[in-house]
Amino acid sequence: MKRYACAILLLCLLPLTAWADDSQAAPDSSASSNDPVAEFLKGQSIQLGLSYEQGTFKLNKPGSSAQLTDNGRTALLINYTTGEHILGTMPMKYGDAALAWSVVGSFGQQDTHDQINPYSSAIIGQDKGSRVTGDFLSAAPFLYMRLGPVYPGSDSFWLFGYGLGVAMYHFGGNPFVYTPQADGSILQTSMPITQHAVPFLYQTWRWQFHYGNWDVLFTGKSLSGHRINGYNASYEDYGLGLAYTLRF
Amino acid sequence: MGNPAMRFFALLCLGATLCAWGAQAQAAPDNGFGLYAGALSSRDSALYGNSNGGFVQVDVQFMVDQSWSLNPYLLLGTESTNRTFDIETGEGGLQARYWTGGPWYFGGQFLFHDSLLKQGSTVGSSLYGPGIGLGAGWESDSHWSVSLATNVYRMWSAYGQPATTRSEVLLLVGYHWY
Repeated sequence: MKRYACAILLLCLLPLTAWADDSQAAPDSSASSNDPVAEFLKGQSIQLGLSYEQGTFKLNKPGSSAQLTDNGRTALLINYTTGEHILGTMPMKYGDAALAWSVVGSFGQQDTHDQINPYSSAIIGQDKGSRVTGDFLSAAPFLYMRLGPVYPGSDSFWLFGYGLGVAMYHFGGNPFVYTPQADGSILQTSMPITQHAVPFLYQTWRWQFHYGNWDVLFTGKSLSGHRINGYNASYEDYGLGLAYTLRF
Repeated sequence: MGNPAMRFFALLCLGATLCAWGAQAQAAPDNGFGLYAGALSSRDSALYGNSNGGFVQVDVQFMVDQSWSLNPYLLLGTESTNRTFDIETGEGGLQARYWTGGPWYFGGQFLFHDSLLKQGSTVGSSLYGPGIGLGAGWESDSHWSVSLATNVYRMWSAYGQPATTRSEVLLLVGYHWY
């Protein structure tokens, strides 16, 4: 399955690469010489690193729900980013503040095996034998504001942004579904599910500080908008990561 | 000093003392990194009443010109409440600062937070939402600073509980590397 996902990732990178190359062919007149960060961000980049993150898988329909989490884990961080498209700038003492966008492709894996049940913590699950695993590959236009550089001439900036796009997401497992009963009790049912790769609505938020070739990233990812067995399925993931950026 | 109001008054006095101590110094703000530690006192409209605690904060300062700077920041805090639970808070925000030309600055900030309500080691709720605030501070020529900030923000729950409003006051002591 991982080999399959990696193949999809590589295939999907090709059109994004072509798109980014096209964007570089036409010089961006708004990238002034006072904005050295724009020079750094003109090209494509790949971020490789590790993040500590928590993912939560949810199934919801009126009167019944399931939530599984991984209770936090170390995960591989893989992001591909196209060249930057600047929408507007404001001169700063060093460089510019810029409103800009790029297209970000990400690969993520899900391994949620701790059930959040009605009698436990709201975000920390218990190992009850249930599990849902999956992979997703996302692509999203990403709108952000960035400030930088911190020091003149340095490759450093801060950005905060939001992306809205599509993720091809597949998952499967045997979550417990909880259904409150009329007598006040809660019925627990195991519900095996299998979902082949289908498009989900993908949203992402990112707080990022870049210095040199390194990035510190706080990220949020949300996949939603698809039903399985009558339940709205969604996956949320929040993490803090450290990544090395390769530019080309 | 067990009374939260007394504790907060003591923090204010400490801040005022530190400001008076370096009143002659002139700040020279520039781009750089900041590290802060401090104390905070908060009040929630429904969930827990009052809380007191401490926090650490980091920021990056980007000067727009000699009078204005933009400071994105992250804050991690821990608090004890009047109730049986504690609060772990993470905030990420962007503060705009106006520098008066001397050591003083005034700011306004916009932030997002996530607050975990804990009983022992069990996290009972995760509450989150946007907030706004105001701040004022003093920074010496040696780059040490003391500031006060106040924020108000919404606390939404992913589990259908009604949203509440939290207000907080923070006293920060920090250092900037230019």
